Amino acid sequence: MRSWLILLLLVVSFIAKGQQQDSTFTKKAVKSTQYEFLFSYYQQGGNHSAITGGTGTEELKVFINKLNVTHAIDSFNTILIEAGVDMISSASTDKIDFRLSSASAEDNRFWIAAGYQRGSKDKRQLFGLRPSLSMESDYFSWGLNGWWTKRNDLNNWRYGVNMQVFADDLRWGRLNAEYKRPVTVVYPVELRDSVWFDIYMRYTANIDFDIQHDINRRMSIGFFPGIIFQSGLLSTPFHRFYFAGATKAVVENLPQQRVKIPLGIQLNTFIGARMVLQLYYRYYWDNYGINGHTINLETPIKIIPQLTIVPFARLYSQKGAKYFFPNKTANTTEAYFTSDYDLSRFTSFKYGAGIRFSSVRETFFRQISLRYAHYSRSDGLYFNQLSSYFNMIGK
Amino acid sequence: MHIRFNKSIYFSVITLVLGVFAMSCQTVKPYQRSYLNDSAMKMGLTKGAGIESYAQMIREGASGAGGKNGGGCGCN
Repeated sequence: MRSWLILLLLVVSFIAKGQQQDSTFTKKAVKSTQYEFLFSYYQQGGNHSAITGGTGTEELKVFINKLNVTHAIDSFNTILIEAGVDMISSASTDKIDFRLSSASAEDNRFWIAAGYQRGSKDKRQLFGLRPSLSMESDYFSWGLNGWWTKRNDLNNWRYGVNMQVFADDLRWGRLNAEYKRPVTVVYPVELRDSVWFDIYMRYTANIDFDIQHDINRRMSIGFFPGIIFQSGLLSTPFHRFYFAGATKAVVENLPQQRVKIPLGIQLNTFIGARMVLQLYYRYYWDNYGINGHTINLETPIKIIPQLTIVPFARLYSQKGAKYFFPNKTANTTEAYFTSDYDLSRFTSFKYGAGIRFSSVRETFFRQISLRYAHYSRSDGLYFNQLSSYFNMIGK
Repeated sequence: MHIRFNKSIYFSVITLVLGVFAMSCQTVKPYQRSYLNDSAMKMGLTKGAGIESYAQMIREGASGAGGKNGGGCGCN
């Protein structure tokens, strides 16, 4: 009996069909699209406007609107699109023409960038290229950004190079209904009987390096050296400058070549199971004589996995440019001169906090965050900024 | 008030960094990356901080090293 049963099982095993391979099955790459919306309100005050020779209001309000779309075509190819509009209301810009509520009091900045990124087959390298355009009433800028990143097989070393070039045309007129073309560099209204500069282009090229290493399971470090070259019209043509004892202004004049070298280092580490310490230091040097030191501290704290609060503080100290002179203090023998307090000697402090809510499930919504910062400078300039960020995914 | 960053501060920062490195180095295996893969451990600026960096770049003479590097705007 047992032998008949075994024989029956053997026969059944030969004629029974197992799982058939579906010959119509094909591998499909999962496409995904990520949408990021960024809105920010920036409000500034101060009393050292460079437009009026280092004195006068610096009140400024900007509404910043930005959209980023990242579309993964497949596992290797990604398309990047970014666009934005900044709506600017400036009390000091009004002083270019000394007309209250003139067209110069309000301006808009438009910009767009479209890029392509490709990953290598081993998924350890990324290459990308991203051209961009930016436009405001008094400039038009072309830009090109290229990057390469690589990680090792354990993903505990990561390297990268990022290069950018910009060509800025500082002529006004493209957004003017009467001209609709570049016409002229904008000088202060009382100084337009002279041609102060025979050039109108500014060129910028920079290269940044990125070296990151995971020190242990909870700590990583990054080094960010870079170098920036600028040439062309580096003065702002509507900035006034007054020599000592002068009643009539001249246009500020800065050297037409500038080299900048920033060196940054960042340390990120988990403190306990819920708090991250992000400590960043940067040293800066340029040939205008500016030396700057930045210390930035952010401490994201996870209240629950979805909710994080992010208090932060930043301290910055700058030795001013050798061409900076306060209002009516420079001798007429100076070849280069500016009263732009952004290039002066000062210390600044920024503090604030953010809150971030992230979805832990694969849903349409990924993240919402809100962030507030207050910044104050030792010369009296300050700003408040409130920013919101939304991140959503679609397929 | 202007804060001076003198040689003792440079030396302290460099010593701190090297000390952290020397005492803490470990090889991290892929299955040990739960903390490192957290979004809060990502280097560089978050989107909101990036927008502030743009304003700072214009309002301060220094730029670069993780922030916007200049060009693409009407500012010097």
